[in-house]
Amino acid sequence: MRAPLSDFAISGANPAFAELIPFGQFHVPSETAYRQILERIDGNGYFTNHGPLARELEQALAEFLGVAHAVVCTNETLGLAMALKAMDIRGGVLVPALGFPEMAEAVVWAGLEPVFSDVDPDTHQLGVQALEEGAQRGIGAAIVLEVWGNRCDSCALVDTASSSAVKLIFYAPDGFGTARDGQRITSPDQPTVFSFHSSRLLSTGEGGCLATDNGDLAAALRNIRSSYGAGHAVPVPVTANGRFSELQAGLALWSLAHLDEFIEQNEALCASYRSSLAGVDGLTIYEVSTGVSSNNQSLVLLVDEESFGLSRDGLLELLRAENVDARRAAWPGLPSLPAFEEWASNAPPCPVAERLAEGLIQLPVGSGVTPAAARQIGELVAAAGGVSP
Amino acid sequence: MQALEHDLRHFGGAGLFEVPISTSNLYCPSMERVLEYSRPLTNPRDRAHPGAVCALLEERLAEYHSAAHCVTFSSGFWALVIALRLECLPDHDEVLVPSLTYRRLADAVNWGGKIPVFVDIQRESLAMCVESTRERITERTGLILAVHPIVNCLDVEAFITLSEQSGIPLVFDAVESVHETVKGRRVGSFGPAEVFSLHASKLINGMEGGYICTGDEGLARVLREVRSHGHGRGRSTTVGMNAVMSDGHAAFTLAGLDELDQNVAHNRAIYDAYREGLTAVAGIRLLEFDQSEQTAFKNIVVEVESSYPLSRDRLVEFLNAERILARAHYDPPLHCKSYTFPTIGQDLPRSDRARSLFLNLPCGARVTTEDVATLCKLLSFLASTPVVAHTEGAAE
Repeated sequence: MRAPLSDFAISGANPAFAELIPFGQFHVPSETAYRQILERIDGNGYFTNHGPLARELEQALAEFLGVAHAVVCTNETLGLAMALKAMDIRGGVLVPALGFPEMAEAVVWAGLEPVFSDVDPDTHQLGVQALEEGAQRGIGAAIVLEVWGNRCDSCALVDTASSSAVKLIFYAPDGFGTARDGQRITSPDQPTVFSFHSSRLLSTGEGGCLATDNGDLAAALRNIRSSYGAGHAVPVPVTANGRFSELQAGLALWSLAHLDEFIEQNEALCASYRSSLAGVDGLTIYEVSTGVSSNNQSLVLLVDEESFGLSRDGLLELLRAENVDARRAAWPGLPSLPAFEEWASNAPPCPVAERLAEGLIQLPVGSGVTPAAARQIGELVAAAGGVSP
Repeated sequence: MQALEHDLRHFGGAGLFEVPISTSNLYCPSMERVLEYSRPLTNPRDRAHPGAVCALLEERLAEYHSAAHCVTFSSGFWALVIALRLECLPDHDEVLVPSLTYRRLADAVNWGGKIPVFVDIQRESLAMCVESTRERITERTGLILAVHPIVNCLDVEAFITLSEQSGIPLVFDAVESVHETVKGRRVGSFGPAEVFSLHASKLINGMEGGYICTGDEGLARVLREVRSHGHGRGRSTTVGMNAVMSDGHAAFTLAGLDELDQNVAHNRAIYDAYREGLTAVAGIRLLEFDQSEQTAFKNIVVEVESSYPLSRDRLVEFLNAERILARAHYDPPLHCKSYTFPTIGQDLPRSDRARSLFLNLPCGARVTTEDVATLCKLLSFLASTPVVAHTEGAAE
C-alpha cells in the first residue's frame, strides 16, 4: 500500500497531526498529586541527604525488583561511574558500540578506558563471544547494555565473565519493570543500573538507581554517593556527590504506584503499532528474547532501506513533517563519535553496530500518544515505503 | 543561670532544644510559589520539553549575579568537576586548592582527572593565601581553584592578577559567597568560571543543584554541551556527562530566589543576635562580616581562644550532646586526610593551626534569635563552670 509522495506533509500536504506527538513516556503527576508530594516534603522537613522519602523509595524499589539493595542516585550516568568506582575496576572496560554515549562517558570520568565491541545482530546486545574477545584484550569489566526493554541471558555472560575475572555492570536504561524468567534484575551479584529520566517508564525528571543483592557492593555505592544514608563506613577509592533529593524520591514513589497503568497504556500503543505495521516489507519490529516480559516502553523498528524503499533518516524526516517526534533508537556507532576518537583507534570494526545504528528508528510511546494516533503513525510509516522525500 | 543548668542534658535535664539546631540554611520557600513554578512539570505536553524551567532559572541567576552567562548543573560538585576538567591547561595535571576547605574538594579534583595540590590560608581571614598559591606553582600546574572562605571573600583581584601573570587559568568556588560583593562587584560577575551550589544547606535551597556563572561565551557553550552528553548531537569533541539539573529542583530554586531578601534578613538577625550575645562570652571570638560589602550573613564562625576553658573539640562534643549541631570548621583540613589517589602538599602551618580553633555555630532558617540568645548564655555558662571541662566524656 504505497502512497503517492504528494499525500505527505513533507511535500506540502497538511501534517497528520496538528500538534507534535512527543517521543518518550512523560508520565507526570497532576497538580494535586504534585502538591501532595511537596506537602510531604514540607511536613518531613527534609529536602535531600537521604531523607524519609528516599529511604521509603529504596525499600519500595528493592521489594519491586526483588533484590536486597536499591541505591538511588542523581542520574544513570553517575550511577554507572559510581559502580565502576565501587567495584574498583582496573584496566579497560568493554562498551558495546551500539547504544548511548553515557556508557563510554562514565568509563572515562571514572578514569578508565572504554574498549568498544560489536553487538549481536539478533539481540543488539553484547554476546558471549564479544565478552570472550574482550577478556583476551585484558578488560577488567564490561558494561552490558540491555536495549529496548529486552534483558540479557545473564547465565551465559556471568559464566564467561567469572571464568575470566571480568566484572559486569548491566545497564537497563529503559528496562525498569521488565523481567526475564520472572527476574527483574539480570544478575543478583552484579549491579543493574536503571534510568529514571523523564522519558522513561518510572520518572523523576533526572534520576537513576543501582540494584544488587551484593551487600558489600551496595555499601560501597552508598559510601561513594554521600555521607548521608551511607550506612556503615567502608573504604572507597573516592566519593562523589550522587545524592537523590526528596522531590526525586516523591516523584518516583508516585510513578511506582502507577506503574501498572503506564505499562497497560504502553501495551495498547504497541498493539496499535503492530496491527498497522505487520507485514510491511523492509521493516522489522525489534522483539525481546523468549522469556522476557517487556514494559512495552520502546517500539523499535529496523529499516532496511533497500526493501523498504526509504532510508531510516528519510523516514525520520517524513515523520517529522507529519508532527511525529520519532527518533533514531541509538546514537551513531559510539567509536565514530569525535569525543571517543582517542579510544576508537584500537577498536575492532563494529559492522553490526554501525548497520543497526543507521537503520533503527524508535516510534513515540507514552502519555502524549493515543492508540488511535499510534495506529495512524503506523499507517503513515507503512505507506511511506518507497517514497523519496 | 540556675534554670539553664537544670535544663542541660549533661545534668540530666530535658535539654535546651527539643529539635536539634544545625549549621544548614534550609530555607523553605512558600509551597504555593514552588507550585506556580512547577506548573509545566504537571503538564505532559510541557514535560516533553525538559529543561524549560532550568532555562528560566539560568536567566534569573545571571541577572542576580550580573553575569553574562549562567549554566545550571545537577550539583555544585559536578559543576566544579566539569569546570576544572575543561579549564585546566592541557597536559598539566596539578590543580591548586586550599587545604582548609570543603571536605570533598580533593575528590572533585580526582574526578576531574587531576592531582590536588594543597595550599595554605591567611592566618586572620582563613581565606586561601595568594602567596602560598604562587609558591606552589610548578611546570605541571594547570589550574588555580580559588575557594571563597565561608565568612567574607577571597582577594579576587590578587588571584586574577596571579592567573594573568602566570598564564594559569582560574576557577572560583563561590559556593559560600552567593550573595556577596568584592569591592562592590558581585561575585559571579568576574569573568572566569564561578561555581555555586544549590544544596539545601546553602543560601539558595534548590534541594540539589548547582550552577556556574561566567563571562566567557565559549566556555558557557562547552559547559552546556558537556553537561548533557556532549549534546551538540554527538559532534562535541569533549567527553560529556549527565550533569543536568532536574526542572523540579529549578522550580524550587526559583521560588527561593524570589524570597531571597527575607532569607538574608533572617540571617542578618541571627548574626546580629550572635554579635550581641557573644560580647559577654570571653574567649569566643566571632568572625565578623565586612559590612562595607553586600553579604548574606549566612555562616557563623567563631574562634575558641585559649582563654576559654574548653578546647574547641571538647566544646563541639558538649554542644552536640545538647542537640546543638555545631561543627568543627573544616577539620581535618584536606592535607591531613588519607587518599587512594595522589595528592601534593604537606607543610601548611596556618591550616594546621586553624584546624583546631574554629567552630561553626548553628544558623539558618530554622534557628531563631531566641535560640541564639540561649546558646550564647550556655557558652557563657560553660566559660564560668570549670566542672564541665573536667568531666570528659560525661555527656555520653
